[in-house]
Amino acid sequence: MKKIVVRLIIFAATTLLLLANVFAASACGFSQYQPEVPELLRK
Amino acid sequence: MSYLAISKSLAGFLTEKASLTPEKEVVLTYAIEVLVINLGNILCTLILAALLGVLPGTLSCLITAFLFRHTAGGAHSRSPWRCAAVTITIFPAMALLAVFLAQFSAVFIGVLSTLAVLTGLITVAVLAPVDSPSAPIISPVRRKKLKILSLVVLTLITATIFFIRRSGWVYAPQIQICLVLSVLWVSFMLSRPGHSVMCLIDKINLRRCKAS
Repeated sequence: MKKIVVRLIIFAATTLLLLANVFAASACGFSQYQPEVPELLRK
Repeated sequence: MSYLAISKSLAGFLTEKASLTPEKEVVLTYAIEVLVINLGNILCTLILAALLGVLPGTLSCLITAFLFRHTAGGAHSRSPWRCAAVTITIFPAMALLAVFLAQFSAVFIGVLSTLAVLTGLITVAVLAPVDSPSAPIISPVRRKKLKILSLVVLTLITATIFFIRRSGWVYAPQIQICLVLSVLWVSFMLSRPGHSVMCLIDKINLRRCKAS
């Protein structure tokens, strides 16, 4: 059970990292507020 | 970097459990922040739209704005709460205005659509992509790519505006005007007056308003 939870957490983290790259590739977010893009993702 | 407390704590938890580096934690915080703010805004906007009975129109406005914001960018507020207030108010308001304007003649709607498309074309061709200090577009290649994508989005929206009218769908005139108003809104957000309005919203002192 613990292994499954850890794998789910890793999956969630990986998906979020992927999404962060997708968000950073667009001109800006949908809403009128733009959170600061981390240096690592700026291009 | 200032992020919401919920984004920071959730990212901290995931980083610890998945044994990630501190750099990755910042990236995770950013992703969670974007998701939380956008999903919250969309959900509240759709609830208000459903209460006002303008859900299809609001949804079409949101989709149009979503496509344009990702490619063309636009003006931003410095506060997530003020941004939420603008988003939740403006899209159902546009859908309500569309319900009113849909009663007018086809000629009026045709002229309005043409004017909106021309305005959109000029602003996108001249100004897009508009970046913000929080998310600067550094690469000229990326800038060029985003401009081309913005023009592609505008072409798709224009085609939808002119073809949806021919369909016999009961919501067709309303959706057509919603798309037209969204194009005008996006053009406004790309322009200098749009930036001035967002600056003005940022400058509103709520504490002083409360005191008086």
